[in-house]
Amino acid sequence: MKPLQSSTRSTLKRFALGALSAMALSFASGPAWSAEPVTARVALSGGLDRLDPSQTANGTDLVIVTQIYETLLEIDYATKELKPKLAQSYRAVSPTLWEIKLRKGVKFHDGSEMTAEDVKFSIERILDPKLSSPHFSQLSSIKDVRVVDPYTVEIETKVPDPVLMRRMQPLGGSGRLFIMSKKYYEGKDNAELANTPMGTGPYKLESWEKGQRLVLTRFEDYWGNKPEIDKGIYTFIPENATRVNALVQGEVDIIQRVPITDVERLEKSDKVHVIASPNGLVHTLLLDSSKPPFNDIDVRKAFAHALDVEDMVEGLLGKYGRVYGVPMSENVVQFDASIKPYAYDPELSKRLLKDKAPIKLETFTSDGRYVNDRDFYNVINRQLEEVGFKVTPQTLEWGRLINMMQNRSAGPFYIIGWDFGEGDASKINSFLHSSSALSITQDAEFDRLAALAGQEIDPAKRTKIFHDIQKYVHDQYFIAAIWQAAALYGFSKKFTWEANSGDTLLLHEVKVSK
Amino acid sequence: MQQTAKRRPRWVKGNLVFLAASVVLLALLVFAVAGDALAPIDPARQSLRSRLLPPGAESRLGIHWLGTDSVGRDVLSQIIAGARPAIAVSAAAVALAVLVGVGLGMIAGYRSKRMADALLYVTNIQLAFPFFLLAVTVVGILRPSIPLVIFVIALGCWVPFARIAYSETLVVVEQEYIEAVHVMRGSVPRILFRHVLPNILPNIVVLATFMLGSAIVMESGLSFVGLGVPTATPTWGRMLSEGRDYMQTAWWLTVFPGAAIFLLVLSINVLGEHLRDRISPKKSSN
Repeated sequence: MKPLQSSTRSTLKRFALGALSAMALSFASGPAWSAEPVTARVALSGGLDRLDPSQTANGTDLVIVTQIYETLLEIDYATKELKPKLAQSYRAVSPTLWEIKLRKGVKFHDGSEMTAEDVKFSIERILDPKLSSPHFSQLSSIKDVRVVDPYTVEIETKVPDPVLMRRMQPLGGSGRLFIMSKKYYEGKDNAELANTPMGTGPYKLESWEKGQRLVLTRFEDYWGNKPEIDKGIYTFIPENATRVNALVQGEVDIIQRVPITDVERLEKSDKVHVIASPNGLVHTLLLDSSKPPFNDIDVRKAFAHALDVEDMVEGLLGKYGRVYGVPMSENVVQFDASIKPYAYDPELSKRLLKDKAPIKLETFTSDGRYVNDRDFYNVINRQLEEVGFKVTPQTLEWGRLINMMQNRSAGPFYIIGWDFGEGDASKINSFLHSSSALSITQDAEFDRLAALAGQEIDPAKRTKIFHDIQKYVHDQYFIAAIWQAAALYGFSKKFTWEANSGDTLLLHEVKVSK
Repeated sequence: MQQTAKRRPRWVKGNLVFLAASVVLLALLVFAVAGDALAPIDPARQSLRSRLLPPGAESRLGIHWLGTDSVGRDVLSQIIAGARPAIAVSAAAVALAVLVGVGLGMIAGYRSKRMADALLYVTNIQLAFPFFLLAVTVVGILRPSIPLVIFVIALGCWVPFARIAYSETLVVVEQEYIEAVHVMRGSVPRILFRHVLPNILPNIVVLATFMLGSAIVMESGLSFVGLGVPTATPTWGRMLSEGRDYMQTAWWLTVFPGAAIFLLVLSINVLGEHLRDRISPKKSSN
């Protein structure tokens, strides 16, 4: 008994050792991520509201939505041109008719295949007045959507709409036509659907505890390249200092919106690094020219020349900020670099205001929504006081403030940041065209020019019209200051990312550091 | 009088804390009154070239003993300028609370059972509401202004005054001399102001001192959440809230205004305790 026992034991021992070393070998030889799932913990700066792409325009919602759902086209980061995504190809049959061929074999997370019916459904859902989608106006030129065969769709527009295809890509927020499953969505309650997103994207929703955390897991039947990250755990930390500390202490791997003053501290650490995406938000200091006091161009002019924007951006954003003379990002095709920002000239402002009664400005400001927004408001208000404006600011919580902005009741001036990810100048309609809810400019001449640009098919002529528009906006002082801030992300050294998509961090683009 | 004068030197010697508190309080009062003249640098003066300088650093504006904030304003000058809103608003609020609370309390204590029930009912409702929720709702809906902030803080302070005034009045009106005034057909206001008020006043003064401390904390709290008095230069609460983002990189933005609030409230409370010991010795022995 004894010898047998011992030999059994030694055999067992040998076997166990062999198994162990085999396992160790397989770990060593295979890539690290095949051994155990790679999890990225991400801290967002704001909470989530509704995860239905046709019902939301909230920035943090869109970060999640853009990973669960996909669009027909996307932007090639290198060439800035459109390229197919869920579409195989697209072409203009006539100025008012587009034909889109769909990619075959694309599966929704529930296993069903994406077809032309789903595309038709997704467009018509946004156009349904009952849903009152925030993207409605972007697609309102569409007259009819026809299913030709399961993989071909025809879109007919009321008038020529040269930028329609730009609205079929996911970045920039002007359009964002995400493809949703007709079978899954039809006939269901909209409020409920906002909690249970389901699309074709590289990640699917695993769980969502509202206000606490959200978990995305990789969709194994995804048609495209397999992402390196298996699982994304999202938490919400609005407080800047807390969010940065969470990264430094290793509680999370990725954070949005690193405050500029913390960049240096993070760069010194050997566990984390900062990634800057130059195409961050373009901040516009909008003036309400539809009512007094800013319906008077002299007052707008006095306002604009009272501000030392160069100094402000240099001081508050350093190398992560750029001042522009026109309200769009450099990456926009029609960007006119020849128009310079308004010069700092407080004496001119004082002269312009000399014969006028003192102007009181009761304003509302945000704190924490944009990079250093509170400091910007502090400096702006002070410089306005110096030329004779009387400013009484009140800080409001962002949710309430954006609501007031949409009712055009958020005061005489305020800052809004815009994502120009789509790379087209037509985006400026969102804050200058009289029909947009967020526009406090009501100007017939601007609307006329915008309509001209909207219907021009020829790219060169269209660019020319947009140059005229930029000149007009500059001469009219509708926007007092324009600057762009880089989108700053804090990353654990475990991960790395090519920051191309500006304000939208896409997990499937994140790589595991080698 | 003579007795207190004799006792004082010994008492002061034994109470350095009280002395220190008086000095702090006096200094802050001077800041509140003459802050504009005393601030070494214009507290509203911004300079983005010299933002976030540490304490003791020098810029072309002078030496920043307590550093500069995120838009380059001098922290020391802001703290000096912030003494006025902190003290004036809180004092006004406590005065309003005393007026309303003591008035209602005395009437309820003197009048009828029904008035008393009504008062107790109202104070109970008020106490059931968390003050901050109430304050944020009221100030959040209306636009913050100095009178509104004073009103809201007074709303958070008046209940203890009403309760003390009520219960003390109950005791006083039972006294025989009040009966005597009744017999002599003295008017109600005369009874309340000449006979009841002087008797309950010492306790009210002590309570008012303590409430002033709470009112300053309330004012700072409201400023912290952005609902304080709108002023050109930040109040202490707003300085704290603005400095929060820089806790790791610029500690002086939160430590100094925090210390200012702490010292002011502590000094007021020390003074309050001292007053309590002297005015109503009965209470301190309990």
